[in-house]
Amino acid sequence: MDLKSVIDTRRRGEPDMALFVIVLLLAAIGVAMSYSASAVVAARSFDDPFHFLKRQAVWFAAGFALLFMVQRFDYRNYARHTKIMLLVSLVLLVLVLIPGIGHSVKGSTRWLGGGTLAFQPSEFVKIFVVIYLAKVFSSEPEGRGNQVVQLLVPVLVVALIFILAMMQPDFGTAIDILLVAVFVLFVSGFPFFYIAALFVVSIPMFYLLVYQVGYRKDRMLAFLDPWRDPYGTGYHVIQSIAAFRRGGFFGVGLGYGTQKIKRLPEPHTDFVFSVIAEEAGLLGTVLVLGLFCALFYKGMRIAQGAPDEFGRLLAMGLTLLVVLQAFLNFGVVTGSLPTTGIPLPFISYGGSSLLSSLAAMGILLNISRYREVVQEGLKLSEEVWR
Amino acid sequence: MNLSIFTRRVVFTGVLVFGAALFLAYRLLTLHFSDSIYVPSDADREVHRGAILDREGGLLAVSVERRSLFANPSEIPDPDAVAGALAPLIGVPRSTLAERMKREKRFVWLRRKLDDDTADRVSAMRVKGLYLRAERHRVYPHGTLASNIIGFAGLDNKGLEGIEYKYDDVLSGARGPARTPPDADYIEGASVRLTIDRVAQYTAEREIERAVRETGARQGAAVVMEVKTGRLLAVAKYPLVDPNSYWEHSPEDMKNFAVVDSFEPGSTLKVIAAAALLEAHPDVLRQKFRCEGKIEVADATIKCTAVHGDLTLDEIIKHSCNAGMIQAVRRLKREELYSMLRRFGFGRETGVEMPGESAGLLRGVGEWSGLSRYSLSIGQEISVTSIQMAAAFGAIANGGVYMAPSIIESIEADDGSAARRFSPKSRGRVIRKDIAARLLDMMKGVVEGGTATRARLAYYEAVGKTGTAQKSMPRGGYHPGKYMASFVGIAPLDDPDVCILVLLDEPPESASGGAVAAPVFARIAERILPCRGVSKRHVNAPAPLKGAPREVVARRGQTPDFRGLRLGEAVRALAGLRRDFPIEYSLVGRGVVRRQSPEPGSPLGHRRKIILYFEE
Repeated sequence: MDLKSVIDTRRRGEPDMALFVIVLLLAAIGVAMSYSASAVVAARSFDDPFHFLKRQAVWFAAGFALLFMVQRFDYRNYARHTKIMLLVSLVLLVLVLIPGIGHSVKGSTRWLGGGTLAFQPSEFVKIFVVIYLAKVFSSEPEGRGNQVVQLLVPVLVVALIFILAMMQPDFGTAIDILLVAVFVLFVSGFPFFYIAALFVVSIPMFYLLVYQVGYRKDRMLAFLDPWRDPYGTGYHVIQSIAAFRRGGFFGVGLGYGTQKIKRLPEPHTDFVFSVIAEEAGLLGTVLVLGLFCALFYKGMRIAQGAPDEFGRLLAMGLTLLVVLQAFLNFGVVTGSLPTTGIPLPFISYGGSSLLSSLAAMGILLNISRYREVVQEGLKLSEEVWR
Repeated sequence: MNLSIFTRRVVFTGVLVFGAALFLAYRLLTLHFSDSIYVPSDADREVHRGAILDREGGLLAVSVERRSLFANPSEIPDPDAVAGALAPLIGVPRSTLAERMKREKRFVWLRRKLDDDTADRVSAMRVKGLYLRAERHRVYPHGTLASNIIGFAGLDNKGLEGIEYKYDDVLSGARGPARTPPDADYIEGASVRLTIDRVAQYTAEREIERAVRETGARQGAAVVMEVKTGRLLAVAKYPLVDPNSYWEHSPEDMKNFAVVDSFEPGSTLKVIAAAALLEAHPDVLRQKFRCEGKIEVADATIKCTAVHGDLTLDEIIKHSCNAGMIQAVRRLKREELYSMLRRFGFGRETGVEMPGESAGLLRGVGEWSGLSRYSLSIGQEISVTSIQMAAAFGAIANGGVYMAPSIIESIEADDGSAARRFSPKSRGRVIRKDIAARLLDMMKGVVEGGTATRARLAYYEAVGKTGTAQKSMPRGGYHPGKYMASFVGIAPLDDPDVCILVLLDEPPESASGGAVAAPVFARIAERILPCRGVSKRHVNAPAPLKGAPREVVARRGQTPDFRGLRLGEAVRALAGLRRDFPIEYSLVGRGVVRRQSPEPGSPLGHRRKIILYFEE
């Protein structure tokens, strides 16, 4: 008896409400914090303390509109367009690097366009890459013999995107993509041996990437001992830690933080978690960490309940994309990882980041709509077998 | 691909992710609560350091905004060209600049605290990658004025000496009344207002400087104290340093000689011994003591300045007779003298709010030798600070009530609210009022015809006591030919307002306190008292002149004959004379000139002081 004929995988149920609530909470915290963290900077730079709040509110609305659209759109359709997505990704990443087209801020060229409409292609490229990987690793292997060849193409694609991201330079996003790629490869069931071999091959590359760039080496050394140069390279880490220390259990109160004023490098973007730490204390930081853990758990469940291999890998990849990025950000602001510019999904100020995170969650919600159907179908199939 | 591998690996991934989450949660706990993480909480929030003001609110130290130049090397395309353009402007060698701008960093200082003109020119260059950041810079508008009190703050706005150091936490806003707005990106410090009076301080400094230069002394100090409150109006010393460029001065010059150093006072302490005598043995006033130029006591021979003959206690003080004093204190018990010295604040800190105050040295009775009582009565075997001495004499001037010296008028926030305001602090009565009056009377003799006639004032009656002490060596014994000459004076006598101590370290060998320190007292007091609104009780208003004013005629270079002139005429004549000669003068008494010094016709030396004695 053919199982597929019994289970109607095209029938869909309701999206996972818990996941939606988690995402909504995180994004709402983001809007609130983007005001608290940026008001001083905004008042100073734009003469309007609400400058960033207004924009973030617009992105919030746009992001959820996008999320609702995406969650209605059957995820299986993406699998057909991975080649186009890859092509667009590469073109965007190359465009950013071309002087005159790419827009640079503080020595990093990450944006296309300018002003309010500037957007950061790498935020969307991340999703395309995950879709691509889910597609590649979910395809039925054409003969087990040439797994190496099967592995080679996606590895090269990821490496190319990694290098293009590093050229911006955007170390955080590059690492995030790389980690997600490794995990997707891992959960797809590839033998450990290949993954271990990949690691060995990539270690020298990492060494070069870290030590060829002076400031990255400084940051690495600062990470190992921030007090070596407390007013130079160790400054950000120390100020971020200071914010935690000042926050204590309850925090100093929303809006009352002082670390964000001049000492935290990017109070409303990369270091927004430090502002939460200072203003909301342990309660705030544990809440945010807990929400991301819950998000991961829901994502994991959705992946396990997905009706097909592509859905499973895609759900896992998108969940990891967001959660690992959040953890990388936590690692940086708590001084557990070397300083690198990586925004906190949902919470950091920034349109591209929020839109792409919400779009990813939209896809995840869409996948979740097929779970119950699968379970019903499985029950049904058991009965049929009996 | 089968589902169970997928599930196993997802679970494994989950374990990794939740493991990481646990680690992060642990990390959050540590960061929020661990005390082992040292956090320089406000270390780099810019401090708007409070001002240091004088009594009238004049600025002695103030923070102004200066701009500092830094670069982001990653934004500078051609460091060599930029360095070439910048070097002549900011005065940093081209090679140094180029090297800094080539570093693999995003922030390098190029030059801190530029003056406004240079900063404007740099910003007019409009070079990408160069930035100016406002920083606070400490400025001392009056230069050397009161620099020994104020001290200075370093490049990073940390107080390193003086009030800047002692009140660093208040000035930098770590403590005290200043209220920093909660959303401000700086810390507002409180201001410290001193009891120092700019005019008094300036006068004291100039006169000490002049005395040190004229006599060739090593250094000098002067303390002016308001006797009724203990306010220090001036604490001067020479040499002075300029806190705007403190790094150019030697540590020796920076030392606050007036507060930190203690010295053997010598004869000024006789007044305190006399106080002990008057309290324990009032009949001492009816006794006479014979001075034969030296005296043998407790196996030692103590020399006197002259053979003074038979002296009363008043005359002992007047002529500063060692032999007489030693005989007088024979009856005094050790405890009586010791207790009097302690009551006058010797051997302990006065509590004045300046860093490094010395307590001086006064040994307990148990450590005294047989000679100690006599040595102490003439100001040996004890070391005191200038502030202690001024405060002790201030207590005599204040009718026997000791006022603790203080230099802080108030500590106040920008809006004028004060965390602390001056209130006179007394250590209570140390001698009876009649004894204090009697002591002032004794000291009157010193100025009127004793060792300090040069302390006489034109318009006020001053009293005081001289001291000339051989400097003791650190390992015992005395330096031959090295002296500390001092004078402690009080004026005006009928209602004492200020007590002034003048101290000269190592004046020429022959110079006594009366010769070198007393005139400095006179010059300071004469300038300060009128400014303080003390009326000139010592002289009458000049009587209207009858007939044409008489004039004096004298051959050039000779002292004219002033005798018979009224005050107005004498002043006119002196003023006329002063046009040709750099003389000084002093007017004593009231009525018409009866006597004068120097005598008419005697040659007029450079900077000669003419004293005219008026009588009815």
